[in-house]
Amino acid sequence: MTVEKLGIPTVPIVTSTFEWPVKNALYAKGMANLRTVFVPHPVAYRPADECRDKILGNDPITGKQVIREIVEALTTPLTEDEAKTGFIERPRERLIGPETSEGLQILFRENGWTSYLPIVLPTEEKVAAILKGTHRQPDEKVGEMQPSSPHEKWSYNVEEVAVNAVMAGAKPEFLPVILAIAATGVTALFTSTNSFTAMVCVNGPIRREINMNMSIGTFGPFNHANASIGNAWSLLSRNLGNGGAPGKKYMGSQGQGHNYTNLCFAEREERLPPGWNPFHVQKGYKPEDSAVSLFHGWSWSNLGGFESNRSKFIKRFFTYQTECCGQTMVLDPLTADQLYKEGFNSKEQLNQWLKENVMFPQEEYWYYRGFQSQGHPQEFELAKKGIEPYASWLKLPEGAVIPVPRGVDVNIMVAGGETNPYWQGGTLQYLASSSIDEWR
Amino acid sequence: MTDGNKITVLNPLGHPPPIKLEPMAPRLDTLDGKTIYVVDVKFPASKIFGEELIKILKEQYPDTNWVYREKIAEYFEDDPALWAEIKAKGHGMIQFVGH
Amino acid sequence: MGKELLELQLMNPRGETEPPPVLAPNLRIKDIAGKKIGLYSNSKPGMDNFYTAIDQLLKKRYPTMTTSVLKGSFEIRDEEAKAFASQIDAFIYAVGD
Repeated sequence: MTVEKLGIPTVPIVTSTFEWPVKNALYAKGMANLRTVFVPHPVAYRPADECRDKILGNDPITGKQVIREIVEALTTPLTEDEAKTGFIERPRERLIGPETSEGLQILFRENGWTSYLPIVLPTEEKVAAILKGTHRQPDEKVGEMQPSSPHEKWSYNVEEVAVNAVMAGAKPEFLPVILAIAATGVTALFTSTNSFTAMVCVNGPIRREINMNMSIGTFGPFNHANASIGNAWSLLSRNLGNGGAPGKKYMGSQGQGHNYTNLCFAEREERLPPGWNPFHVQKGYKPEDSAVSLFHGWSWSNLGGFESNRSKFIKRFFTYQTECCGQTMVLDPLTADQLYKEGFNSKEQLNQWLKENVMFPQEEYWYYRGFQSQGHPQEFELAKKGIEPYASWLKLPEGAVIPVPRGVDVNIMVAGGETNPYWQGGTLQYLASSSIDEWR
Repeated sequence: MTDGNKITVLNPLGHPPPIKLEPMAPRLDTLDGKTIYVVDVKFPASKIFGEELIKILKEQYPDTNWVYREKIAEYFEDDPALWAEIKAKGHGMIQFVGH
Repeated sequence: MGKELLELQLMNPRGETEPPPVLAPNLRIKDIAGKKIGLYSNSKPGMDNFYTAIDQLLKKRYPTMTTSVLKGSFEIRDEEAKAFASQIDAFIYAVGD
């Protein structure tokens, strides 16, 4: 579109799976008629003869021959619609109804405004009641959100966040946490084909004020605050953040079960080993501040067994994790104690040790996105010339570890009920923190 | 038991911004004698597709000057220098592809 | 606009449960000295060490006491319990991780 706006005719070629996300994005950016040519999905990693067949074949959306369609896109004169200027306004009604409760549940569900579970209907009375949880005005803007960068950002105010909080079953005292999450503009329903997991960690006095769970069953379906705050994040990501429409704005190939309530928990600050600071303090907040911190990424695992709490096991776990998107772990207090006894006197010390000792598996060092040499291209050239240690590293078998640190920071939090020294972790990256106190 | 009473609720949706319609660029009368850029947006593992595409274009439209370029860095990054080059030296652009 | 208060009657979501049987514990032995004490290990890691420690501590205090260790699955089976009970005077069952 950028080049099109410079006065140069363009034609994007896109694989057919992305027809609706592309058309949605183009509509929202004001160029709905941009002549896009589609080829059969997928194209990435496909051999040359298959790519050639797809280019010489037909567009699966229009049925036209791809090459002819490309040429026509560049040469056929514009239609009246394609040359139009102006604005399309999209006003929204504040109220919906009147309708029966059952009818509204069906309407909300069929419009894709829920997680396909029953909701608390957001009547004016219920929304007014939950708004008592904040001193901020209902029409005050909270933020903007998009499911990913090609899609447009929608804006929302305090009342609209409150509507989604009611739907999620939240109480007024949970609203400042939900507003803080909404203020970050971070979506829980990232568009990617990778079915991202999303996580929210709550720190500070508010954890106890609203009785969040950070003990037995921290991440499970056992607490009103944890469940409804996490649920609210998904609902507002869908409804306020222009997200959650499968095939258009959400492309997660298998979806992510965590997204019903996300990994919503409070850090058990009282059981941090000596010298280990709460996560929000690590991000610059004072201990007496209340704050949320948000994360997302590809994978999340539950590490049980009786040896997984040792630092060497943790190192091995992260060595074999995938390249995206970060590294995060939430330790049961017994595991944190175990690591403290190993000599890690702070989270920073443990992070630094992991940064220096989590290495590359051989195949990941050399390969990047399926292509050998793209992992470390300069080192690959040296290896081919027989220069050590790269030449020997290239000959190592699959599964061997290259002694080169990944240098990736690990986000560390503590929560759990001490029934055993376990932990959970994965490739989540830290995205943002936000003050809850501003929204009380 | 059914509830025949009707109620009004608040709309859960946010505010989509107004859409500013952007007109497309005028099209070319012919590709003959023109310079058309074929740009790889750098989505992983799409290079082979691009190589086949430009081969076929050159085979079928030999009177067009087809120029192959890779956008900088990752697929989600902008490349103003390339767009400026296309504006200065090109007549059209094909961009591929992703996934 | 006046609002009516609506009362609803709902179905109980919980399942049906039988009341558990009420069992009385057996009579206690008067003394551990000279008795055979059964120890059941459910093979969880660390169980051997735990029972070794109990065995040593009890024998230190009650030198004429003997122990018999039965190693089995996670929960002792009824027929195992019956056979074991016929050989011992008292039973210690440890639980934990």
